[in-house]
Amino acid sequence: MKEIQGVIKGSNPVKINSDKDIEIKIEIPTKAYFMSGIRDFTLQMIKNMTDFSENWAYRFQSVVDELCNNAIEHGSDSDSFIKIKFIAVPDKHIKIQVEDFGKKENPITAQEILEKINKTQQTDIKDLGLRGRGLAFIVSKWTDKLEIKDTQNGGHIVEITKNLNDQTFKTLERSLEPNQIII
Amino acid sequence: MAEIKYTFSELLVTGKTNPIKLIALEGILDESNADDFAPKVYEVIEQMPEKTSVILDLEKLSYMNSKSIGYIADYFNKATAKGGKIVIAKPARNVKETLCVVGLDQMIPFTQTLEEAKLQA
Repeated sequence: MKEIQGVIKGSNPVKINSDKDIEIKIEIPTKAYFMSGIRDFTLQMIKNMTDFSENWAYRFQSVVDELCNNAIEHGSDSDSFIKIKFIAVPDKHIKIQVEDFGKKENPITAQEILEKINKTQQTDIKDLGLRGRGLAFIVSKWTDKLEIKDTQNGGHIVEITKNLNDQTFKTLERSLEPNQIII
Repeated sequence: MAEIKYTFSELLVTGKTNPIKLIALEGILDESNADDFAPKVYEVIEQMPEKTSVILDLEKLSYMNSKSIGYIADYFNKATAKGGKIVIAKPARNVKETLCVVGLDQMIPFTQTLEEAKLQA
């Protein structure tokens, strides 16, 4: 077989500068190409706002990506937007909330999402389909609390909490990244 | 901007009837490009002879989301249905962690080097 090479481009860049705040809110259109910016933002924010190691910053990056992808794909219409809120309470916890505004067709309730997560977690890994691993494994295993609520406008708020008193953080290296958030 | 660069090639290994398919990835696999990339791997698996092994070289892959991992699990199912194998070589630490947290290490062997991957394939 001949060697085959190629490149697939995914998205256009979005750049925002921000100071290190306790609460940060972001709204993005329900397009996957905005997620690279959100991932970069999350990585830098976790490094700057916490004593988490780089390892944990990468884990949070995946958690936020999966929360947002889920909100965009399963909780939103294509011409809508999602809200992302990062809340850091010093010495206590970090919360991340992702709010979607629901689908006009085939809407799903918070209870149904939770049931899907439970079902996925109970399924043999070899029998899982393409989807479902994000909330069921990446988000659930790398956070301390996962809550999903229905909203009055037909959407959902998915909120995760990571406690800062996790003893594993103390054994991991402190990030030395610059104190600027760029996406 | 998420971008994935890929290289498909073949490795001739002594003792193997069929050359190993080597798929080397560089960049990011996320929601914005996973669906566009996956058919290219499916095509390789569909066209390869029975009992052919595939090595995914992830050394230069810096991010992978759950959908991309779902595709790898599906590549595994399709390759093993043809009597072949899938081996993941040289994943970066964060990528390996993500693969492990969803349990892919229970299905697919990971190796630290390409040489080890050839032995596993």
